[in-house]
Amino acid sequence: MSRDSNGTADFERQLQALLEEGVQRVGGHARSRLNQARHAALAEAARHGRWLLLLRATTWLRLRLLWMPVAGAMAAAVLVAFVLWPNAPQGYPAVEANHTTVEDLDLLADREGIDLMQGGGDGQFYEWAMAQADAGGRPAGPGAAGQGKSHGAQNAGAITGQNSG
Amino acid sequence: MPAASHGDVDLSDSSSNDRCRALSQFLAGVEVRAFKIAQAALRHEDDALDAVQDAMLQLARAYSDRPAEEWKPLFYRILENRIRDMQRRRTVRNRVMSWLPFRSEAEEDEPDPIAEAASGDPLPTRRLEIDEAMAALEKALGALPRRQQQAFLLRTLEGLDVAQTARAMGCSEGSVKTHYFRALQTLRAQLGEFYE
Repeated sequence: MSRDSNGTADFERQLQALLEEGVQRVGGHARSRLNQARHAALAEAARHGRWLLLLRATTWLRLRLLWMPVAGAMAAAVLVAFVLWPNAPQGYPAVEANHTTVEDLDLLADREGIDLMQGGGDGQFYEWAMAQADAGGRPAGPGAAGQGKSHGAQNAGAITGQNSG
Repeated sequence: MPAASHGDVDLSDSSSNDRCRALSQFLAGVEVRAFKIAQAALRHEDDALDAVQDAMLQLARAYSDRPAEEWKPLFYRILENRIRDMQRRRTVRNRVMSWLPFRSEAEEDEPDPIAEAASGDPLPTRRLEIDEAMAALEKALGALPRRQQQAFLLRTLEGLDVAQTARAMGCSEGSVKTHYFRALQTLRAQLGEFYE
């Protein structure tokens, strides 16, 4: 086994030496053509290298040109957002709360309103208001103001009569 | 010779220049062995030179920016593909040519005296022995199945390890070992008389 493997290794070495001898014997014509082929390949590599450099440069430039408008638009959007932020509407609940507060203050400040709530005024106003509501809330024209008022008064009288009855 | 000395190789980048020089050194170191491998497969000097030239161009065009340690397996992979293409083309051409009545055998392979010229000059008897052994080896190599021949030449002549040979051949390391072992067995059976 060992002898056989030694023999194989020797055989390999001999074949290797013979192949090397064959390489050394390659003629001038073949060597010359191989030399030319190598130079052509190197020229191709140089061209390819230059082309790659150009491609990389233009790719970077194209990406830059592509991203510049996008980045500009984003910057403008951020700027507009910052400028408009303090003037943004505060939202419905806040406005309603302010409105209610002002209305409440008006009501409290209005002496007549308090009198009406306490029943100090005539209750006829409420009766008239209810009658208006029953009549469908039709607005009375300027010419019909007196009619509406008298009609309201009649209705008020009817209601009071019913109530008293 | 550095690549920068050639007029047509002019890179502005110093790293590209270094890479070009490294590629030049690599190709110079590998070209003759690659030619011998192609010649063993194609058995035709000009076809072998064409195959090596195509492989060099393809490597420079497509893989020159890859790490230098990857070049050798890649180069032999490309060369193998070129050899296979040429063999297919030759098979088709031979089929077509066999139908032509006016074709003579003399047209086929005229030996080139310059190509046949030897560079070294050992003693005549020793040279005769080497010539005989080499002729027998070339014949035996030519008779090997292509994959065995490829595994044997890449391992023995080019000195690639099993992993590199597997990458160059596009197969597993186990396959490389099998092909190599079978090639060695066949060669030993046929050439044993020269080395016993």
